[in-house]
Formats: sequence, structure tokens, C-alpha cells
Amino acid sequence: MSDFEYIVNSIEKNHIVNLLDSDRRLDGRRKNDIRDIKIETNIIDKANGSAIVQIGQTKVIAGVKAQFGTPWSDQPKKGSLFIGFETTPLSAPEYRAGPPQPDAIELARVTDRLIRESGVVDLEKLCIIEGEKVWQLNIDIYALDDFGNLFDAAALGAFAALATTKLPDIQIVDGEVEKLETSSPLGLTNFPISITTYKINEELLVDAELREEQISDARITFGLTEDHIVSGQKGGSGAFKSEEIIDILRNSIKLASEVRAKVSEQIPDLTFAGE
Amino acid sequence: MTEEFIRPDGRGRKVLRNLTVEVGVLDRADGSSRVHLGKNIAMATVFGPREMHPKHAAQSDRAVMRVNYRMATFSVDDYKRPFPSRREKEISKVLSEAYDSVVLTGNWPRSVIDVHVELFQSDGGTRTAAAIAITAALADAGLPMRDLTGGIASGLYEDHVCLDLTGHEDMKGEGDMPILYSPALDEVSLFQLDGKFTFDQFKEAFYTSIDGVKEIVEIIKGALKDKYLSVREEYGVDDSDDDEEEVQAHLETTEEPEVIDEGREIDIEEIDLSTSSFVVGTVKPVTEEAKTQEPPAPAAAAVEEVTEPEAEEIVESIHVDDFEKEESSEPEEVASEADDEVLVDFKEDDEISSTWFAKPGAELKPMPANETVDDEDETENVMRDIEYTMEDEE
Repeated sequence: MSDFEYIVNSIEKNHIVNLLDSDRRLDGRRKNDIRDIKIETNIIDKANGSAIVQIGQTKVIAGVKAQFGTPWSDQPKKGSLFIGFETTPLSAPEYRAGPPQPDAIELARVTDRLIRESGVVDLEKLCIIEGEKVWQLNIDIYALDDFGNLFDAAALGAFAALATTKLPDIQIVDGEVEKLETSSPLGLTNFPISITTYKINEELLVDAELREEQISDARITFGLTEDHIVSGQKGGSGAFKSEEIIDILRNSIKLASEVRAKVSEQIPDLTFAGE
Repeated sequence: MTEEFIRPDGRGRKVLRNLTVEVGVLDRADGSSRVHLGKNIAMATVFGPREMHPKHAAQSDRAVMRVNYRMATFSVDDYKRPFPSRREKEISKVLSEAYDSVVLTGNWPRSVIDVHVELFQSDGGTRTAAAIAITAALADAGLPMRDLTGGIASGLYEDHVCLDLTGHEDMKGEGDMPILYSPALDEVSLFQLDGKFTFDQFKEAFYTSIDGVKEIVEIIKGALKDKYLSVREEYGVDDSDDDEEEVQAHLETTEEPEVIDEGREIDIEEIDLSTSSFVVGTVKPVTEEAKTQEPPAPAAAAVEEVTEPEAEEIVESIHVDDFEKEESSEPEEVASEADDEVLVDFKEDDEISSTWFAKPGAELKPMPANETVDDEDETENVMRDIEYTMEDEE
């Protein structure tokens, strides 16, 4: 950061903090408002499932590719899941081409924990031949426009793509697995939502937009299903008081159910296994 | 949820594993430490503050904390491939950020504080063992900090909230939540969670960890005091003015860290939502006027901004080859990501035979001088290799 940027950031930070003091933000929201969420599904024919998710101006694209793989030796009955995230050079001037940077790795791993631990996908249903052949789901998320809060966008992207994922039907002939022309939906078992709260000086706000994110001191992301906390990650060079974390969690649980309702409306044919 | 729940290694629910901390264990570094947490063996060194290289990664208002967390290839059940995994890169990043909030980095603008922490043996909770080592090494290096930070994880094992999970418990358990906490500031500087916690389990685990950290910080303080006492002994400082009794009393209390009381009740205060910072008394929606008063966002600044990714890039040392290899051998990667590496054998582990890694207080066989030197050389090589890798990337 050059001296110039440091000064500009300090001025901007003061301004944002002054606004927050009276529960206002640069884009007219209140501290506890989440930007509008738009989801568009099934946009890539070649992928088994895909979605574009927009939170405000932040935009990500996610796709699911399913392929045959061998199960882990300690989990012969379970399919596998891999989540990747790329902050592509498409999305902001500061991102460069090349292997994922630590930020992207962190994003991928936090999203991975959310999807994996919430059990969105029943991995046992991905088993084809026990100990030999399973479905391996590769979920890759690419940032298109980084206007802040990629964490929540990535989580929604992964979920929306999974919700529209269809796997080819298969038949087993003499131990050989053949793919059929037809396909059936994956069938999800849970609905996780990620809520990220940012801290700027002593102020807390959710779903930061770009400038707020850049000058924020710390952030904390919670992954929440309807009845459990399944993932969490603190980032940034600031710190949270212990009571703040409990407060934020309470608030995140409340927000998550609101977001869940909004998202459900936008994903067509959202069905859960057992419904 | 019974208080009498006994865990596979015989501990109660809220009992730490054996923790020993030593400082000043390596000579070239500005500060160093060695930590045993159960079977985990972590060593940390601190170099700096020193000139930032590359220069563009420097911050004009503070020193950059650059933590490099690594695991030795022999530290886990299987051979761990030597280049940094995604897991190691993530942990390095969150640790760097955590210590950014603790060390008074504003004292040294444009410089860097390099912290290297290496796990030579792992058994669950490696990042917290690493954090304990880092705190001790930073203090040993004499860097001013806002508080001594300790780290510990609480998690769920057979649906019981347990402090300080072993690798076995972490693998079989339902959740794990490591935190770094500064008791005097009441600040959480690192927080991660995976698993399935209910809200009540979360709160219990969170406050259990906080109590655990308070215990740990006392042990770190003990280690730091011990070093100063040993220096005084070695150089025969005239301490006739000092209070002998106090020193003796201290030595007695630090030799045996107290065991956490198993039956202790956790005092979880219900937090009144009305005090939440989210709730603001009077709410004024932004009017059009207010909007127009905002200064235009300095777009140019945003474009030029050299943000963390660039600085972090150097720390994390990513090879394009590494990346490709990682991709190609994905299955292994995911397996090791699922949790901290696990040693299923959880017999009591006081069998570390090397003098070098021996815990303090254990009976040490005197070794010929040259053998000790060999050992040290080897470990220094490990450290040097890390340095090399980092330089290569630059």
C-alpha cells in the first residue's frame, strides 16, 4: 500500500465509520441489511449443475462436474467432493492469472467446510460400487465481479449449482458401469447459508460492499443450517471480543433463515431428499 | 451430557493434554520456542523486524506479520509431501492475520516480522500448538505485544463438548473449533469452526476454550520467566537485592502446571440482544441528500491498490508445479484436509527418546557433545530449507 492509498483509505474509513455511527452505509443500506440476491441456474449445458449468483454487484459463477472416481480407503461407501475457488483476473484489477493465491485458497476451504460439514450432499448416495467406483463431484466457483463479500456469494453459488445438479442414470453390466441417456436430480439433504459479518473500528455490519471490505479490520463467517452451526472462519487483522462473537452468531442465525427463504424462491424445483 | 464422561485417553471433558513450553531453544533466531501439546511437537522461530523483501509488499504504516506454518514430512502417519498444501497455506494466512492484531506492528513501518513454525509431530490441534509456540517465540524475541495470546480448540466427541481434541477424537468427532484468545484484552484473534454444533454446544465449546487459554497463557508466562531465571543462574548475576523467596515460590508453581478442574461449571451469561451492536436506537434511513454528500469513491486508488494477495504470495510460496501436482493427486489432498492429521495410536506417549525433543523435567541421559550438535544441524537444515524455498519463489 502506497502512502497515498494509506491516506485515502484512512479518510474513507473515517467517513464510513461516521455513517455507520448512525446506522447508514455508502450504498444506503443499514448495518444489518443484505444486498439483493439474484440467482440464475442451469446456464452451462456441459456442466452437471451450474448457477450465477449475484449479491448486489458481486457476481460469481459456479459449476458442478461429476465424474467416476475411486473412494477413499477409509470411506469405501462414500462418494467424494472437491471444491475450488478462483479469484479470476476477470473480477478485479488486483487479481492476476496463475495458481490460486492464499485468499482464494481460504475461500475454497471455507466453502468446502460449509458444503461438506452441512451434509448438503448425501455422499453415500454417490456410491456406485462399494470400494471401487463412486461419483466424484467437482464444484468450482469463479469470481466474475468482486464487489465485496465473496465468501457468502461463493457459498450460495456452490449450493445453487448443487441444487440443480443432475447425475446421469447408470446401469451395471457385468461389473462395468455404463452411463445412460437419462439423468436424475442429485437430491439435497440440507440447506446451508453463509453469513459474513465485518468489523470496522467498533462497528459491526453484514455483507460488506467493496470499499467497506477493503477498510474493514476483521470479518467472521458463519455457515449455518437450519439447526446447526457447521462452519466458521475469522479473517482480517483485527480481533473480535468474545461477546461480539456470540452476538454475531445470534444475528447470523436470524439472517440466515431470511436469506434461506429468499434463495428458495429463486431456485426452481428446489427439492430435498425425503420430501 | 454428563460431567463424568471419560475420553479415550483417560481425560475428563475439560482437561488439557500435557503442555510444556520452552523458549530460547534455537540460537540464530531472534526468538524461538518449542511446544509439546500432547503428542504435538511444534517449534517456532522469529526473525525481525527486518527489511521487507520484496519491497512492494511493505506497508507504509506498520510491519507485516508473515507467519509460515509447515508440517514436517514425517509428522503424520503417511509421508506428507514436502511442498505446502492448501491446508498449510490457509493456516499460515489465518495465523498471520491473528498475530497482526496482537503484535504492535505499528512500531516498525515498512518492515516484516517473519515467524516460522514447524510441526515435527502432529496429533490434532496442530494450529493451536503452533500458536502457543509463536506467542512464546515472539515474546522471547522481545517484540512488544498487546497481550500474550494462547490458542486451543474445543470440539464435539460423541456429542460431548471436549477441550483440546486429539487427532483420534477430531477424526471420529462431530466438530472442532480452534480459537486464539488474548485473555487480558478479551479478544478472539483466530476463529475457525467445522462440524455440527448446536447453539448451546457452540457457546459451551467457546467458553471452554477461553478458560483453556487462560490456563495456557500461565504456562507460557512460566516458560518465559524460567528462561530469565536460567540466564541469571548461568551468568551469576548478583541477585542479593532480589527476593529469593519470590523466585523460589515461582519456580515451584511453574514446574507443575495445575490441572483444570474437571467438575467446573461454565458460567455462560445470557447475552441480552438489546445490547447487541446490531441494534441501534434510532434508525435513520439515508436520504437522497445524505447520499449526495458522500465524497466520490477514489476509484483510481482502488485500482492501484497493492493488497494482501501480493504480500501473501511470497509467504505462501506457490509453485506452478506444486499447484499442478496438487491437482493431479487430489484424493490425497482432500483426505488430509478433512481434519488435522491423525495418529490413531493413542497410548501414553512419553516415549520420545531423542534428547532434542525431550520434554523439560524428563530424565535426560547425558549425550556426547558431538551427537547433540549433529541433531541440531539437522534441524537447522530443515529451517534453512524453508528459507531457501521462500527465496526461490521470490
